[in-house]
Amino acid sequence: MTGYILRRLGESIALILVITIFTFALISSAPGGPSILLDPNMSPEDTARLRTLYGFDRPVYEQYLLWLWQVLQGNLGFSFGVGRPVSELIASALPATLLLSGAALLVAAIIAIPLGILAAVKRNSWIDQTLTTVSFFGLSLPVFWYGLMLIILFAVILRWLPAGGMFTPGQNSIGNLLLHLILPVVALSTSIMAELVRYTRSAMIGVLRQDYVRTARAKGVAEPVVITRHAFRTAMIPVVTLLGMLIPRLVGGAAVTESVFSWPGMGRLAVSAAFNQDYPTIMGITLVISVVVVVSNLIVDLLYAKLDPRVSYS
Amino acid sequence: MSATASPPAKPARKSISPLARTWRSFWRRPATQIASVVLGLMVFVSIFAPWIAPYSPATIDMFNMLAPPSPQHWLGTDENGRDILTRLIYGGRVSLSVGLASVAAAVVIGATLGALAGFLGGWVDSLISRIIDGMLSIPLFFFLLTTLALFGSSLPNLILVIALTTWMPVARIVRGEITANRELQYVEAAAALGVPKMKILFRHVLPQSTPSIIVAATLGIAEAIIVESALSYLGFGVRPPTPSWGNMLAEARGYIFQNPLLTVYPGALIFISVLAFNTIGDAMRDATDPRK
Repeated sequence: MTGYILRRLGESIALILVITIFTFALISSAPGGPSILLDPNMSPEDTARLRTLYGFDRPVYEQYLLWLWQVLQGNLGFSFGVGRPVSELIASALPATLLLSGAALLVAAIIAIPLGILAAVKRNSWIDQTLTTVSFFGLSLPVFWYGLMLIILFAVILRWLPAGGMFTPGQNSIGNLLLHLILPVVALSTSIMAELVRYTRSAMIGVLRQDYVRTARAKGVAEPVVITRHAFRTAMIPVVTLLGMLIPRLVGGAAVTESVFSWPGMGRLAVSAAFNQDYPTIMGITLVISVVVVVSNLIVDLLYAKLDPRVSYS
Repeated sequence: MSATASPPAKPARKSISPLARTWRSFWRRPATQIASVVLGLMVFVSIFAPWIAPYSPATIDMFNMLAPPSPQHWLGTDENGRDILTRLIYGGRVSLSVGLASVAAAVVIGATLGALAGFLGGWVDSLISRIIDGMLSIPLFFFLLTTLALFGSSLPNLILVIALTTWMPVARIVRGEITANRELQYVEAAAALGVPKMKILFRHVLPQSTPSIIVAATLGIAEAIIVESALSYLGFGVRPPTPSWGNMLAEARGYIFQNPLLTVYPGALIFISVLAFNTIGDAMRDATDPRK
């Protein structure tokens, strides 16, 4: 097990390095160069000074190594756009994104997994058909439009919930935060929920057909126990794999959702960094998001081993 | 009834070709028929947009801004007095063609890489599989934003970056099928006849995967339409004044209080087209699935 974890850690670090090298190369090859050097009010001497200060006069691989060296010392650089350390910007945005995506994933799992099981158990009934159809619609919903529709209905017409942001100015209570969290979580969790229902349903149908389930039934085990104790655990194995595969989608979806609901997270930060061609912030976000995603994938893999006694990772 | 009346008639049952059988099982569901008609209509209107649209998408009418629906403007006008129906028609043209073009490019990339990985095996396979797994495990949306912001969001750039981030499912499917097919006897026979390896792959083995590629491509168009409209909504995709459903939605957002309907139309069309492509893709998958 330890050997497996070490190997996966090594692979994860390699993947993160490849992503940052790729992004760095991409940024460096962009036409026009860094926006910070393009200010028409700057004298040529100042531009030259800035160029040396940021290291833009050096070869690209040297710039990358310099960046990496600084990162290893905990320094993500200074934002071009806002003039604050990138680490500060990310430190204030990351919790908001983790809260939003974590809540969406949790809500989706709590609602979708029981519904998927229900659909499998009542296969081909009207419940199953309704759930399958609704989740099919949910999969096709564009999150940004769905979010806008939620805003129009619940914030503009009914005035029940706030249209965006994280807090009403001046009110920093948990209750106020939860009120602001409802609509973005609904918007973000719907497509994940749809996918989870479909997946849980088909995993559960597969398991319910297996011999050991028939054996349990034949032994006279009550049907609810067969479903929850015998079938559920096996069916959860592919579902956990799906959760791992959904994480990139969740993070990408969070970026769009944050923009729709003015949620002050990494997605909004990424959008403004890309607009301002703010290289240090783009690199910082790329690094942090990759680490978050790679670590979550690692956790999912370990969870997998925990769930499935046949997997031993040696 | 006929089965009980004349059992020996069974072998005499009219035989139908596999293609016809696939078509029947595809066309059986009403949902598939509705989706096909809706898509056919959308494609028709997009192609003949200049003859169908009542106005030009760029005609500004400053005396008729944010007008409600009327006989002159069936769906009203936007904040510049432009006819909404016209812009939806031209926007669909952009959104559908970007979706189609990027999937075409993604299929070329995905099928080629998947075919090489599956057929050659060895280090080529491990390398390509690693790239596929790696790209599927990270959120590529940030890569899309960065690339379009730095290199400009012209239509070719947009199509290219969407293709570069969506080819993996096709590659994975093709790789799987070819890995399973490359040991078959016809491959061995072709090799024994002296047909070059690459010719065997691209002329004989890869075409076997056409049904799966078509299914993956159909579902891919749905995905590409969503990605394009999300990017255009955020301001990184199709740039105004060229209308696309995504950027119309972004413009309408500013008038959510004056005229909320403006945000309903473009999004509903994105939703409907994505739903239609998904429905057809799903039906094709079921119809071509040999296990059924």
